[in-house]
Formats: sequence, C-alpha cells, structure tokens
Amino acid sequence: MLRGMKLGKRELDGKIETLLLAVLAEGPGHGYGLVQKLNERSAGLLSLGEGTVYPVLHRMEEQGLLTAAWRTGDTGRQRKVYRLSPKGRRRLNTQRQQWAGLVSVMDKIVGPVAEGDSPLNPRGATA
Amino acid sequence: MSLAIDDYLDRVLLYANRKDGAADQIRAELHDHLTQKVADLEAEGLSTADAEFRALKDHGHAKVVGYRLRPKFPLIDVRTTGTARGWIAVGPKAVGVVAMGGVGIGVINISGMGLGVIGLGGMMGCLLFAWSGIGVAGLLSLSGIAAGTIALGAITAGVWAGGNASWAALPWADAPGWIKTLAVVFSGYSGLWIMVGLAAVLGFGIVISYAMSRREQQRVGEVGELAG
Repeated sequence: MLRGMKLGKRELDGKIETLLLAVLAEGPGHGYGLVQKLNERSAGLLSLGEGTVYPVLHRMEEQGLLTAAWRTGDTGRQRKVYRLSPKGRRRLNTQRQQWAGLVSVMDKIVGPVAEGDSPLNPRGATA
Repeated sequence: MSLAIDDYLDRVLLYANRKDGAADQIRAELHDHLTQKVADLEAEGLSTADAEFRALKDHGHAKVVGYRLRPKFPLIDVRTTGTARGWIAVGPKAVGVVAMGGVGIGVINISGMGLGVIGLGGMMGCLLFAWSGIGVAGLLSLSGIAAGTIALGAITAGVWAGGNASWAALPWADAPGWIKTLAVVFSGYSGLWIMVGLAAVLGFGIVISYAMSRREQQRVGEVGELAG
C-alpha cells in the first residue's frame, strides 16, 4: 500500500520551510547540500522538484529567517551559503511546537502507523 | 559549460522575469546546483548526457521553477499556470489590485468567480459593487441573481430590491435619495458607460495577457533555437 508513496508539493505545502529551517539549524549550507540532506533523510519519500526549493529559500531570506552570503566552495565555484538567523531559530522553535501538537492530535484521532508500515521503515527492511 | 543546462536556465529566468542583478545571482546559484548534480551522477556511472537529463528532470519544469522565482508583487504579473500576483494580475487564478482571471481576488476584480471591492464577472462577492451573473455586494449588486444593500436584477434580495422576483426589507419609496440616485446611475445610461469602462479594463487585460504570453513564447522559441 505504501510502496511507491511520495510526498509532493500538495502534502508538503507550507512544511518545506520547516524542513529547511531544521536542516539549517545544524549548520549553514548551500542549496544543493540542503536538497541532498532532505532527500537522504526522507529515504526518497520527498518528490519535490529540486529547483522549487530555491524560491522558498529566497522567500525565507527576504523574511529575515535566513542570511545568505556567496562563498567559494571546494570546487572553486561561487556558492550561495544560507545560515539560520535568530528570527529563523525562533520560527523553527515555534514550528516544532506546532508540529508536535499536530502529531499528538493526529496520533490520538487517526492512530499511529503500524510497526513495519512506515514508509521510512518498510516491512521487511533490515536496520 | 553545458548547452542543455544553459538552455534550461535561460527558460527558468525568462519565466522568472527578474532584473539583471537578481537574475545573474539566480543563474549562478542554479547553475552551481545543476553542475554539482551532474558531477555526482557521473560519479555514480551515468554518461554526461544521461546525467544532465536526470539533473534537469529532478530540478523541475522550467516554467514552474521560473514562476515561483518571480518577484513577490510586481506591477504586472501575467501567467498561464498557477496564481498571478501583482498590482495588475492576469492568470487562471489572480490576486492583485486589478485582478483578472478564472478565479480572482482584487480591488477591481474581473473574473469568472471572485472577491473584491468592485467586481464584474460570473459570480462575485464584493464590498461595494457587483455586476455579475450571481452577485452579492455590500452596497449595490446589479446581477441576474442579486443580493446586497441595493439589489437590482432578475431575482433579488436586499434592504432595497427591485426585479422580477424580489424580496426587500424596506419599501423602495422609503429609500434615501442617494440610494435611488445610485440605482438610477448604475441601471441607466450612466451605468452602461461604467460597464463599458470595466469592459475596457477587461479588454486591456486580455491584450496585455496575450502580448506578454506571446512575447514569452517567442523568447522561449528563440532560446530553443539558440540552444539547438
């Protein structure tokens, strides 16, 4: 049932910002690195156009949630590196609390996913 | 330097409609992303052509990425997919001071279905004035099915209402003079000119929309020819 399940723009609407804030809370990063981290941690569950992350990053920069600076990367190319601002950190804390509340409510009403049915840990997968 | 990547970025920036400085920065950022992705895919064993194809596919459609990179609220935003946002917004969904589209929200709204202050269209909910098939307005609704403080049309309901089938809270004869004047202006000869004015705005919007879409398509074609 869950095989091949993907989370697209519709399911993630408004949550990409939270995901990016959370990844950037661990340290600064450039767009490609952020996309790589999101893909790795979601185990391929995210099905976003990678290019659609940039409009979100730019909007967050405009809102003062992130700061950005151009740096020369390992490859010698100029890269735009994003960093979480204090405002972004506060926003992340708020969103974490809201998310925890939402998960708690959904678990109580909808019920948790059965062991082995999680798309991140499918039945039969070895740890 | 990959032609396929450059062609793709040309298209993204064409849809993004950003000024030179911002466009250069966006191009540099996306170019770095795509170049790195191609290098990583090549390291996994893909040929350069396959790696470029996969990188561009994963990056998303140029139109979608470009539209999302547009300035937040430009003077004019015309688009063929998604929601147009601008002082003048024209699109399938439109949000603006002047909004024209299938579904619109705007101070002046000319749409199939919409919310606004002044509206002309199929179904309208307006603070002041609605001129539509079905209209609900705070002040005056002049519609087939109309509801408002003053409602004029075929089937109407309002504080003061007039039509073939109407329900009015108060008799028309007791309406204040300015209400009667408004009704006369909007349903009479002057109202026709207001209608013509709004239709002219609609015509202007259609011309702008057509011209901008055509220009966009021409530029996309030129980009394709250059890349080809």
